[in-house]
Amino acid sequence: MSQAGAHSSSKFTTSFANIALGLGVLGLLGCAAGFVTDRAGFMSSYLIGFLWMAAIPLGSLCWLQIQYLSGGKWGLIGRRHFEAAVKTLPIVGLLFIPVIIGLHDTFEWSHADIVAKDPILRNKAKYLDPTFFIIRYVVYFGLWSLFAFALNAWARKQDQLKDMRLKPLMHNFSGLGLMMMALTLTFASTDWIMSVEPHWFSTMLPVIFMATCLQMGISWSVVVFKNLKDTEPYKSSLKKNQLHDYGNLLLAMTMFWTYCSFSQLLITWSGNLREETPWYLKRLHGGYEWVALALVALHFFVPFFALLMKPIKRDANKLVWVAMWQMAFCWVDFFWLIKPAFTGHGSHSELHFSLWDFAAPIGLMGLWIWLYLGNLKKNPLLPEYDTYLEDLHHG
Amino acid sequence: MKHEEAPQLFGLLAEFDSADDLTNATKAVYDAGYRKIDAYTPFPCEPVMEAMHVHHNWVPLIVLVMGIIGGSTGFAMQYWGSVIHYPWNIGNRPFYSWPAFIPVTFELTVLFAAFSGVIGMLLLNGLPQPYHPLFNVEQFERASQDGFFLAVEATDPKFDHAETKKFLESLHPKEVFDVEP
Repeated sequence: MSQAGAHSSSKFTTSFANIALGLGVLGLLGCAAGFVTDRAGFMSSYLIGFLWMAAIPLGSLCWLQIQYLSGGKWGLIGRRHFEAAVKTLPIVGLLFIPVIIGLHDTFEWSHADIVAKDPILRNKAKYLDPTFFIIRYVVYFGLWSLFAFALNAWARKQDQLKDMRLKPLMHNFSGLGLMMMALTLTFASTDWIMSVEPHWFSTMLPVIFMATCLQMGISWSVVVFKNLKDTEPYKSSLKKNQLHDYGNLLLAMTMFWTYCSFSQLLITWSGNLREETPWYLKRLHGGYEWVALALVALHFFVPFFALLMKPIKRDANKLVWVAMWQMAFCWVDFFWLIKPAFTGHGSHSELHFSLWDFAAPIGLMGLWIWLYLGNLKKNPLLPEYDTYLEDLHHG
Repeated sequence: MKHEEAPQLFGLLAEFDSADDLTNATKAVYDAGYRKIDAYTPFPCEPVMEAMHVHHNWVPLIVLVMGIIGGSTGFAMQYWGSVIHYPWNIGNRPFYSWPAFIPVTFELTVLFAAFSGVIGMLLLNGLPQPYHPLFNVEQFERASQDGFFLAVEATDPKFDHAETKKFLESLHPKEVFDVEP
């Protein structure tokens, strides 16, 4: 790996980073305008954009730990890239602060007078409590940052030590970390997605959120590989077989998302409970039925059949389109999950877009990509030392 | 003499030290014009497959078609059962309650696809095969342990016992065996 620094001068990490920063600043200026002038309309857009952006580092943290546990060449190829993604988590955590400031415009349960009048919300008040909500947010990002930084620090250390001494530690820590991810992502999605409709509950939603995070993480990897495949060290080590693995993982996550989303619908439909069905009624009328249909057709069927085809999975220039497509529809999914709670009353909601719906994701994602590329440049793209490194050059 | 012997043989079998050696030898044998060749490795080895130019495989298409047939069958049978043949009011839901049909549709898709994958694979590759001439070579047992083998069959138009043997020996094998039919 003598070309350690070679990638740092690539077009991707320089001009692409500048474009991302430009769009990020522009979008965030739009967000600032929205926050000041139309906070009630803006908060849901920001929450959707935040979740969409945060899904990449959160998914990457899962993948980073999965690859330590599973092994395999795909993990070796992706390791440094996942590390760069998870290192952004503390700053991603700071980007959640506007949601806390705008708590009253985002979460119905934060209004004591509404809760007092509503017996169901009164029973949930111990959990859906602003102070406890903020404590949980600090705990989530504290844990995520801790695991992200520990895994990064040990990876640097392993490169220096040039032996595999730290591997058992990283393995065990990753096992613990995945359990931690399952719990924190469950509670985080309950707080940030489910509680925008505080009467509604679904034990399937956290799994849908995990599937989306994993999908975003793997899709972003494909985008990065497409842009760096012609520069060293990926030029000589990123083989079609590894790309095929990422395509298959994306296929698996696409199916996982569909499986969970449909299960939630089926459970709700069979149960036919009055706390649950209005959630779907709202999302299947008033224009949102088209968003739902688009999700079924374009977030599942089209990418599913595209990803069944081997030639697409083995060609970065083709796979990248499926990956970016899926990333875009992950935003649509978050929009469909969250937005209807803000554009209507009772069990009816009208599809409605605002300028902030576009400013928030562009601003947050632009800023995130810039942060990520800054991290990616700092270290060689492949581990300096790993006993499996040899295999990488043999196909 | 050699021309009388040739039809008596199934072919020649060369053993190699590693997958890389086998890949190189396969490339050379293919480039020399031999087509009735086959490689045997202890584990799936894609470079060797590429060297033999065996690319086309019907199994994925069979699985796709059977999966679609399975899914449609599952859905159609439930539709027929609960809408046409035996409509029954359950919880005042419509007869055509498609969400309830999806799990069975999914299961039948998987069932048809998985079975057609296994059966299609067996029909196309001719397994199980209780006898094969290569079993006459004692060392061939190691193809499922640590041996890498390349067989050139006598039915290949280019096959000539002495010539082919000389050619195989030039590819640095561990050993070249005559295979009786």
